[in-house]
Amino acid sequence: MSDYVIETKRLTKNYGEQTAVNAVNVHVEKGRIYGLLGRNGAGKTTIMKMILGLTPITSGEVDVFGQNIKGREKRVYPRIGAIIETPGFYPNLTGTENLEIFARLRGTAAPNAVKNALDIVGLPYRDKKLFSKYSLGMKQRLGIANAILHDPELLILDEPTNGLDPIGIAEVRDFIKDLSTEHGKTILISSHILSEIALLADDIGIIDHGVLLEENSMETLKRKNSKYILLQVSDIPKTSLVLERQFGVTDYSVQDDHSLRIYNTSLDMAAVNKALVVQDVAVISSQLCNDTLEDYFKKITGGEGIA
Amino acid sequence: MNVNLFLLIAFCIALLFILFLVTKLRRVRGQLSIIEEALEDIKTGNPNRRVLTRKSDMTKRICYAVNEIAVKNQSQLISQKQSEQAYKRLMTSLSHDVKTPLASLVGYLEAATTGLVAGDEKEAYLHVAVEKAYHLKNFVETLFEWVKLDAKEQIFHFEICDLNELTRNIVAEWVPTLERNHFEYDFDIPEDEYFLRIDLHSYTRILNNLLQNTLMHSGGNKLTLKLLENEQQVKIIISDNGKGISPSDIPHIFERMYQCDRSRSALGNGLGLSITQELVNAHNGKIKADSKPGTGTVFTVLFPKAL
Repeated sequence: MSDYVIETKRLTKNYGEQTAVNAVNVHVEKGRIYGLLGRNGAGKTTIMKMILGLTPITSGEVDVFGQNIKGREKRVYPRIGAIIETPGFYPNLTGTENLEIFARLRGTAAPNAVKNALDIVGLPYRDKKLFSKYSLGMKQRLGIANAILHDPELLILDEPTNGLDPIGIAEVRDFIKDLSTEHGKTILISSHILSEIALLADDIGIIDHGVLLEENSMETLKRKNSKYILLQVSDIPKTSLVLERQFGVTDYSVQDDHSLRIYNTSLDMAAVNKALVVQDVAVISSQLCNDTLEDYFKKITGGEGIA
Repeated sequence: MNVNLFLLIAFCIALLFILFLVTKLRRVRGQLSIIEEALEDIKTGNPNRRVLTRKSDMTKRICYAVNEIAVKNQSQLISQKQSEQAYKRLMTSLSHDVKTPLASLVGYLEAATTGLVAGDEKEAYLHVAVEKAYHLKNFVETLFEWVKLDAKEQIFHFEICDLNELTRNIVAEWVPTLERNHFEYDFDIPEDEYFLRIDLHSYTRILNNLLQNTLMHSGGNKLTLKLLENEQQVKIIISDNGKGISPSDIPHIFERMYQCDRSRSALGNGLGLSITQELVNAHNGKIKADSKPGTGTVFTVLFPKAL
């Protein structure tokens, strides 16, 4: 059995002539946060809706928990929690009352489910405030509380930080991270803000004009996101001595027995090579790595970049 | 005739009753098959699985009990995973952050012992090597301290003490160091007593780390420490007039190994603020940093009065 909680196979959605999602293969691993990154209208919400059965699939397949979702909806959906766009709540009821209605409809996993869900998102239990009086941030929190009410294994969150102020964003980010690390949830999240996703996601899928351009782990991407000179030499201690004594370089790190990274990219490498040769150190290679995450996204989205 | 009518009514009631029982039975059977499926899933290693149930459900207690077992299982697995990851991070750290200073230490010692340098220069090299060795020793000690915290293996001894008195004692020790480094200082600590339940060693460490951080990294020449206390909480504010921290760095400064200037082998070890945060968290407190580049940085630590 594969460890993918969600796997789509050539998932496609056409609206008339227009293709909104084009043969997308998304792989969401168990216990990780998968960030779907793309500009508004790139097809993120449509993919989520198809996974949740909120819109018909034109072609392709969706596997959730290792099995095709078709015909098993009733057994699968109770294991997922989601917010897509603005969640619908009764404005004339309090947050707690709203959640109690959903708890009765959907069933819960524990007797004190409503209180637990509110605790996690940091909203008060049995507060008198009506939903209509809630701020945008509180509404968004209640939406997430509703999504985790039945303690689902998988969360699908469409732009959960949309419209929040920076402090609100940081707080929501923190408890989403907590849901993954402390509660073992698998989370699929979408955003159009690169820095947001970079702070939160373990894996990332970049989508543009309905096409999944790249799918990779954040770790791999971050490794590409740095400026340094990679130097391969025969003798590391001698090299570090030369760098420190003759060039005053302290900003470097040793990778293994034969390679090190110098973070000062403006260093005169010709002079360094020469000095190393004088000290009997063989320089096998020296190369400049000069890519930032933004540059990288620009490159793969064809120069347009991501907001 | 009357008897027949009575029989017919009785028959109808019986029929309705049977129908009611059959539907009830079917519902329970359906729920049982859901429980069975979930149990199978939990048995094969998915402790995230929950069985949903409603208040009116006959199997409610069984479902809650199953979920409780799964939750317990899951939190055990998660804490196991966390300490595994902590040790993995230790290994990464050892391999990366120890290698560099070690290589340069070897470089200096080799140069001194193989006769590459002589006389005064040799002395200077040995002096540098000793300093580097101490730095490395210090780093490794801090690293192990951090790992203990990270793996949640640190044991705290909470006791009630007078925070004002304690703080005065800690900052008093800093006065000579501050004066030697030409720092102006201003300590604003209330004269009265303020009792709080804390771990003495941790509190001392938190203040020392923050003061050390200001001294080494702020680039300023003025430091103020202020204690604001009320019935609910105590707020410790440490501010400087240094170069500040850029908005893009602020969200990361409490991360392990995050250094704004990225000069690894230079001052500091990238663990101080991360340790500070872990210690503050252990007191149910909060720590944050606000900064305006060019005008200085303010660190704020909050401890709740009731732990």
